[in-house]
Amino acid sequence: MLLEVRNLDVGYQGKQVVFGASLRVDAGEFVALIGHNGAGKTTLLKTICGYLKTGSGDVRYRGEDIRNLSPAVNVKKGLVFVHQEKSLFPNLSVLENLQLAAYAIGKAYNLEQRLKEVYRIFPILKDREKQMANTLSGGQQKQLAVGMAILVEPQLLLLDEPSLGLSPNLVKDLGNVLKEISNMGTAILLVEQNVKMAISLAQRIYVMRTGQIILEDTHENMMKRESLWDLF
Amino acid sequence: MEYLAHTLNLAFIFVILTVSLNLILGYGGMASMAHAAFFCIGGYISAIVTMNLGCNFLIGVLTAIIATAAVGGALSAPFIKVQEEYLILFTIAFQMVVYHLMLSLYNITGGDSGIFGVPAASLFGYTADTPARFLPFMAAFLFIVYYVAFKITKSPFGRVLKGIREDEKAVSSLGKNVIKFKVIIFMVGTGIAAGAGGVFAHYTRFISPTIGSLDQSILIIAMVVLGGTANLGGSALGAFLLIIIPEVLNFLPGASDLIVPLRGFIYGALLIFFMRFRPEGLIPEYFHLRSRKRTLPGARTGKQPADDCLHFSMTSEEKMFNRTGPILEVKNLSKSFGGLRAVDNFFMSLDKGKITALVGPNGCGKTTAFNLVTGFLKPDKGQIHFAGKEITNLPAYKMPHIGIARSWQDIRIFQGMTVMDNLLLARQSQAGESVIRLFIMPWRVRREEEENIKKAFFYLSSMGLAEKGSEIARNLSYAEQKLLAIARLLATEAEILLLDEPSSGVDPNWVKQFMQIIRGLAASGKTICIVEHNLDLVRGVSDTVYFMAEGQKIAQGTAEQLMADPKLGEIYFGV
Amino acid sequence: MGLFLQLLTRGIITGSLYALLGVSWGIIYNTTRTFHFAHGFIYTFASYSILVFTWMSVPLIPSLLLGLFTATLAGCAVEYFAYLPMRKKSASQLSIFLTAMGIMIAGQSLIHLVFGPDSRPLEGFPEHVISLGTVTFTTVDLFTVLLCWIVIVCLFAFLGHTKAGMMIRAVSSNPEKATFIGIDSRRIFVLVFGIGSLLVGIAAFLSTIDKPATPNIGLGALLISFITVFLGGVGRLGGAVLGGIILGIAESLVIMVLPTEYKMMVIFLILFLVVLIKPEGLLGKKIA
Repeated sequence: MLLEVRNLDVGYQGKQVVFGASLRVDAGEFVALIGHNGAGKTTLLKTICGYLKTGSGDVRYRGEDIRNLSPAVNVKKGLVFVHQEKSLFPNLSVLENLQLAAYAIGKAYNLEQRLKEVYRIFPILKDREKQMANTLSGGQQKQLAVGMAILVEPQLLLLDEPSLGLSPNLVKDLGNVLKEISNMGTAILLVEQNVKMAISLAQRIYVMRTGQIILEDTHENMMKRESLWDLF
Repeated sequence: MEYLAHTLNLAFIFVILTVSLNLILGYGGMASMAHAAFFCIGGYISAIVTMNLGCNFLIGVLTAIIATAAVGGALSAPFIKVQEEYLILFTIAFQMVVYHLMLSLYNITGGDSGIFGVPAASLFGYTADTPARFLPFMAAFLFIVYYVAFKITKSPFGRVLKGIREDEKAVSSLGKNVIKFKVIIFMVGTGIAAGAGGVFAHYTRFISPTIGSLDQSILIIAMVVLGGTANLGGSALGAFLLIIIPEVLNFLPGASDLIVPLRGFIYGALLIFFMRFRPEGLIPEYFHLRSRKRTLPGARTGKQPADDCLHFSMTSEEKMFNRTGPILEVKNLSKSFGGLRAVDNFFMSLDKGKITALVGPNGCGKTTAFNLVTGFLKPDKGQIHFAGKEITNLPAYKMPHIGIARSWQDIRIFQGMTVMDNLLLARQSQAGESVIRLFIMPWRVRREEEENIKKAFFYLSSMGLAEKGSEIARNLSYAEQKLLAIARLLATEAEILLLDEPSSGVDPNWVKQFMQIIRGLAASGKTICIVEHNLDLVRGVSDTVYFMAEGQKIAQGTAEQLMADPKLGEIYFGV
Repeated sequence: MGLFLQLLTRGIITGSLYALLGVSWGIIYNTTRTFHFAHGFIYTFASYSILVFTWMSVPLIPSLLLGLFTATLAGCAVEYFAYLPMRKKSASQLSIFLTAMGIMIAGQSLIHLVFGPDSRPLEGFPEHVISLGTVTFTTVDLFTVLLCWIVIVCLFAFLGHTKAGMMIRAVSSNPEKATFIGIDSRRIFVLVFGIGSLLVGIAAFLSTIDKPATPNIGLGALLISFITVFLGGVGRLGGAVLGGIILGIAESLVIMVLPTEYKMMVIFLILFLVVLIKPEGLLGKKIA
């Protein structure tokens, strides 16, 4: 088991947002977390990677207790979080954004090779290498954000709504890329508002409502459901 | 004896200066670095007016107060509007300019030698020509200043200021013009400083730029911080302590050359020390609370929220709108951010006494639409009509006044204020929120306040919080805070309530109770619009649901109708 | 015309120094959003450090380097020992500002206590008059302009092309994301305070070879440095450079129409008008 969260409570600014959430992600597994906006999905992700403090409960990564470790430490351990927005540095060039992701954790060796790998997955980033990140289109910015994450060769990728603001075509492309990253052996915990896409990609799905995980089900069972409205 | 009287006079002047700066820094939450400059300007104005017109010193001091407050307010307003750093920037620059001008405008200010022969203060034949004879004047002035400051800070006006320090946006959503309040308190503080300058000029019978330097301004700030921000007693204490220190230093042999830097070092070190280890100062802000508790009418008979409590008696205002059909109509509304059309040609109408919900996938523009309707954003295009009147470009702080109030997803109650004060702040058009009316019609302020407490208590009871009135809001549980937010919203007595994600952050078991409350509000005649992601709640309360996507309304109907439409499912869940 | 050219030259000289002061404060403010009032103390401290080394018979250049080094350390220390603990407590901007003010006033008074109120010249720098047509200036002026611009260009190159520079830009544009990818923003803050203090130390050196130092020279420099930043635009270091040049030239040219005492007044007026018309500053992005 790569990641295990048990009975996690999270609150900030005096309000509790997550109530006793439990979930797990196995090595190389693709897991999705869906639910209405404000259900606490993003909060849960930010807590796992160490940005928010846990209330009570357990967070284990590769068997190790990672509660209250900083995101910086977790990134070095291969646990990488990608924001839904503001996920890059607007006044740095595309290349600089990528380089910085590697420099920040002192992973500068073999950078050329890993850059090549990122460019293979996202060819457009190669063409835009010298451009400032804030001149990229919405879709390209998403690609860059994911590119920065895979550049540091994570074991577990926490993605927060990567499809937000993308056109249907781009969403499809994004889905393919996520599939590819997953096939390379990286485990993914995906938070998505594009529920259909999340269900079609993930092997297991958790559903969250008002701070609680109300359902866990397999890809097959979720695909068979007639309506999703009752989950939201 | 005369030495003692002189020291006392000096201390009184500094108490006046700290109290007035505390109004700006402590109560207004703004750093004014030009307090000494305003003090000095007041001295010059009063000196020049009395010497040239030969009038009584009181006229000079009054002129100084009014002129300085007016100029200070006019100059600072554009900076107060922007951000807190900008006022620091402005006041430092202003302080430096004034100091330089006082030194260089020889014809008016006498340059660095200043103006001599300022007439002594005299009243009804009593001339204060020695420090001891001046003491009664100084004490009277101090008393007036203290009274004014006390009255202001304990009034509804002071309550709004406290709210502003905690959360500006929440205050404007309750119908107060935040900038106006800030500028006014800046003017009051500045005016008092100028008055002190005037009095000081008539006391020493001499005015020069040395007392108007940046160092002096910083000294006054240090006194306020030392004594405790937002605490008038603390200010007096701080002033006394910092006046006594250099007087004591005077007795040290051979220290006379070093007195200025030594004093500076002590003030600076005290500032650092206090900000780090005791930012609340010697006397903290809520010190007085321990001895003083507001008694509430019927506080002991508080009831739990029951259905019957939610049927409110109608006020005259509400009767005005006692009709059915659409009460708020939104036409053509559009708003773009950069190139992105967040809200595009949006139509909506809210029916009296009904609950309308806005739903749609993330990023569909419902929050933007919500902010447009509540005045927190200005639309690029389109109109909003309320009860037949156009209100399209009305700023947010005017909305509650005409009958539209909003709640916040992250509740935004005033954590450091009492529950009762949270509600009182929400009452509209209070006479006590005007500094002038506070003093010319105190009886009206008092009567209104009593009235408002009764009303606030009524709304508190309706949410089952009757017994919590005198508690500090942050000590309530989250669910109680959420109830408090609703009670506060009701206290505005707005006709239309817009609720921003009412279920957010609530224990799942509480969602049902909130559904009941919302339904109860609608039953009592309130018109309600919610933006909500928890579809359970939407299904449970809404009469009409607007389905939005890409900034437009694409469907409208009951929750069941919309959820039966496979096309909407595709939009909501993706393909 | 001759007067105009002479004043313009003077304006460019002053403006270059102001631009340097502006970037020294601007890099700190843009990255950490601290209203670093104690910057003025660092300025005075740098001047006196250099002086102290020369009094100990260290030659001018090594004195300069040693003085700059101690000033840089002092700047880092202010961040590490004074501001950082307050940030950890999530103190308000206002209380950090008040702390900064305390450091400024205490530090300046301490220098006064130790070295007395007298002005202290920095000697040993060759000063000759150079005339170009009707325009005259000194070797010190020439050196000032050259050094200012070399330093400014180096700073931009550093920010643009080094790992550390990249991290500084990253932290200032998106601090949360920077934390997430593993940048330690505390270290970046200390670094930025070091750089800002080094730069202000250079500016202090340049003004001390021109005018003797007194314990209260820091205040004027501080005032110029942040007015420059707000004038040019918060968040844009280029804005501080532009703001500095504009202030320097305006302050110099105004002598043609008004007596020198109105210098401050003109600076203030420019600031007032800019905030009134374009609060985000000349090159700044709109404030949300």
